Amino acid sequence: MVIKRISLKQFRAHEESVLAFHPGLNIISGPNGTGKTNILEAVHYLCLTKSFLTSNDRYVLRHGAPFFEIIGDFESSTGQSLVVRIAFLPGEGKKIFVNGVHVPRASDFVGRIPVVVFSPDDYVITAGGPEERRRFIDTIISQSSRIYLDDLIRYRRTLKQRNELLQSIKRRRGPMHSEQISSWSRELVDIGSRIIHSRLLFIERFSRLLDEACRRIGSEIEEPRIFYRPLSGDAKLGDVEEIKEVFSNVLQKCAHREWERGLTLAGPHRDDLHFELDGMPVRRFASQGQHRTFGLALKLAQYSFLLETVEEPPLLLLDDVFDNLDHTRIGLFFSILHESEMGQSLITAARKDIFGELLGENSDHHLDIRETIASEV
Amino acid sequence: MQFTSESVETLVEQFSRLPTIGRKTARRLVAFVLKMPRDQVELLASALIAVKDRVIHCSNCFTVTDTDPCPICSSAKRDSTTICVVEEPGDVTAIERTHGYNGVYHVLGGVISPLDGIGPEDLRIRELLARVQNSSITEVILGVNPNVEGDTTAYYISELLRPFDIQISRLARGIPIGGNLEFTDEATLGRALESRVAV
Repeated sequence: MVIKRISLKQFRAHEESVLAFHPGLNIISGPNGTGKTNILEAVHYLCLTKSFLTSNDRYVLRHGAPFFEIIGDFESSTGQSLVVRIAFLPGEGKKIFVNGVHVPRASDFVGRIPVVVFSPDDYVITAGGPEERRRFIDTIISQSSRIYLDDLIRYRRTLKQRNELLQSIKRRRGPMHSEQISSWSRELVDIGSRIIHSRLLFIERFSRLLDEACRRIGSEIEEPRIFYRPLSGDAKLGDVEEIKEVFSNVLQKCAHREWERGLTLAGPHRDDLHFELDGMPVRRFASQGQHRTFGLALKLAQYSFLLETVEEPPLLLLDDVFDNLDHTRIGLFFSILHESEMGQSLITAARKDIFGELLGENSDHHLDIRETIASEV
Repeated sequence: MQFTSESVETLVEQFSRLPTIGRKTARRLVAFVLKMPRDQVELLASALIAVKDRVIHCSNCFTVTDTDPCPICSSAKRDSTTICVVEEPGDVTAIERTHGYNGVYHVLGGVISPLDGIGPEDLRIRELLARVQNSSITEVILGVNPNVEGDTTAYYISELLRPFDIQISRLARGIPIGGNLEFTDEATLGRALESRVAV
């Protein structure tokens, strides 16, 4: 998928901006605070109906403005054009229009325009808490499977309901309501087991791609390994039925603690992913540089996974990732972005001179944000 | 700003309390009412009062009715050994419109939802059990909505009904009739594939 043009109204720093993009590499440069990252954020909105920086739509609204609007013209690899419009009004929420037709549920649209974001925060995937890793894989699988996204939404709702029930039992010190809890448990286990199963299948495919990605960026990382041990057990889990059985047993075992704490204590919402490097856990033993390289490799692997699954080259959004890389890495990464299977990329950088002679005369497209906005509006 | 008619404003206020009616629509409705002949307005007003005064819940199935028991429960033509359990009276109307169901109903009055403070004791589940216990029921169809609350309520009821020797079923989920595979969303299509049936 390629974005040809974007127009922003009252979005973050942009009062009204129109930008045209090159189908290959795009460098967006300009001083801090001129809204470079906001452009990537707006493109991300058009792909996944949300920001990659905040979960609150209000924060991206330009200060004091009554609404914001983003319009993007996309073109698929088969030449189909797709015009996406997202408008947000506080109090009324977000509305999504695809080729002029209102799409009532965001989940019906997510996945049509695959996207991968590279950001300086990517090291948190390996260095941060388990929720970062869950979010990482959930975002990828959701973009490639509508059923997975639907299951995630249903699982969250079930979890909320079940926790509320456990809480109310705790508050009132009332009866255990074990029949009602077990009804919620059954729904939790039904949906949760499907989620765990999808994650296991995903990890199987993803490890191969991660291996490849590490080799491509010529990193010092040897034998990266990724594990997913659901339900904090060591059992080798096979099909959904088997997972259901294990999940129900685990829930039964922690039933008493759940009543005490008023919280659901087992399930895919508490699982973690483990990364290893030459047999050592990355989270504890990797250097900062290794976390960064690992983050880069994970995102490249994400790109390959989406390309394989969705069969449409994802958009690449690279937010200030080059500032922390040395010159050799920048060169290597650039040559990867130039490979034929890579689609369009939008890159922000405070200064374009860090790219040096890497920027060819004709092949690349360079947007100086001050000039672009001034000239095109 | 000054209102020229306090009565108009009051009616706008009242209309806009109804679901899906905003202030703009409320104004349009009021403008229309102003142009209606007086006898028609009277019909509308008395119809509103009548639903409050005359409509009661059937003491057997708890749907809305003017007579107790309701016409469905008291009909000799209906098969009273099959009960279809639904959430709201509106669901009874929906299933009746199919002309494909000849059993009777049981309206729960909602679904289990701790977030809304609704537990099984707030629904008419005890009454359903009493019906199954006291009359010769052979099948219970759980016609609740296919969301997590509906699923859980269905599990909960089916567990309570397990000791009785009756058939328990749930409505199938899948592609709408007359729908087009191409335009069915992937989640629905995926579930329909999962619960495919042999031919």
